[in-house]
Amino acid sequence: MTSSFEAEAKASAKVDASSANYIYSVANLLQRYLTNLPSEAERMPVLLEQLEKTDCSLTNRKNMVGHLTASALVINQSSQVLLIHHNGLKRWLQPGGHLNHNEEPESGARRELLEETGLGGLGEIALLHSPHSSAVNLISAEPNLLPSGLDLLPFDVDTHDIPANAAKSEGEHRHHDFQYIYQLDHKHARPIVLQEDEVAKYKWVTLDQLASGDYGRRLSRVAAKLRACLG
Amino acid sequence: MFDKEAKLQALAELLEGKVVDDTNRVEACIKGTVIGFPATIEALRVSFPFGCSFFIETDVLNENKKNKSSGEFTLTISHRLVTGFWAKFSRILLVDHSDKPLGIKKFDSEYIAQTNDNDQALRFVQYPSMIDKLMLLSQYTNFTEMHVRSGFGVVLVQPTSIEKLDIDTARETFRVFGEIAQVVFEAF
Repeated sequence: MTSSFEAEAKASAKVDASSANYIYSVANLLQRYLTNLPSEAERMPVLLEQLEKTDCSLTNRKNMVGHLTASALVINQSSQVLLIHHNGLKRWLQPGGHLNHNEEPESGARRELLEETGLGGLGEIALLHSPHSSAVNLISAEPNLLPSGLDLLPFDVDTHDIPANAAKSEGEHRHHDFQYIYQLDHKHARPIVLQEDEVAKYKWVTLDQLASGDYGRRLSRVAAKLRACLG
Repeated sequence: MFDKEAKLQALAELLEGKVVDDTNRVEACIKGTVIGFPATIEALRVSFPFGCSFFIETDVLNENKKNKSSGEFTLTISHRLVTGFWAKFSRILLVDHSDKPLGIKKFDSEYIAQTNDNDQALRFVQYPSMIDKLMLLSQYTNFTEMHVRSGFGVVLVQPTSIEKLDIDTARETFRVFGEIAQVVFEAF
């Protein structure tokens, strides 16, 4: 892996090695994700273009073309998922947020979950591995929802528009969100402690409620994927 | 200067196939055959930082597309991040996967396997000269993942871009990969 990467990174002299390495790893993650879910490539032309241009500010929240975020959908033993009410956006969402500089998306999802809800300590949650590996979807032309445990592939990747926010002096921009699913271990989970300056309240919703569209198209799609995965 | 059309055409000739327009989804798509099986090369984009993926379909009789859940065997193989003595520590530190090893030292020291059928995975890895084939593929491509799915085919996700892909290396990769597909077709 490194020989090919190094040769190509050297060819791209305008970026430093660590940023090139990071962009390469994100591109690789996306390649693996889309190899198994090929139809989803149509939804992310902007992210693909940014990666192709070796956009080193992919984790910079001032990058208005689009920047990376990560989110965590926690599912409990009753197949309900955790949503939080975001103070700024005044919407019910899954926990998540911006990535730190060159932070791996899965690490960012865990960190945001811990910060916003207090969940994510050792033994409290377990990553539900992406259903996409082993899919060979080009061959089957249908999603294959066998669980996989090989690597930290996101469960869902989504690009969505974020409206301008005058209070933060932010213009309209895009988030490229890498979403991970975590199963809550009730035996070890501590009570939820909200980060009050960002989150007003939380609730658990069923997959049917999530699929209803009340919480947006993206979560509706994720609910369908989850339902298929969980049987 | 990279001549994209010429490179795609060269890859198409390698697969005795043609360049296919699927630009809504991927920038490059080449379809052809390898030892009689339908084969595909795909790339989201043809240059760094994107690699490309190789597919070989073994469902040539089209029997499994309608009945895909009939006890199919799936296996995903990826490289272990750290090998040897440090592998144990990396697992403790969660920088590597903790999937159960298959119990074949030569394989487990290099690769991680995820499967829905451990017995079949063991049989696949122990199939005569299979580990040697995997190691050849590693040497040629440093693949990120290899998927095996009985009745459907094999997929190799590898990090070298179409632009940098050496035609002779690609030819040898498909030769070895085709042999693996043949095993999947005949024995799984």
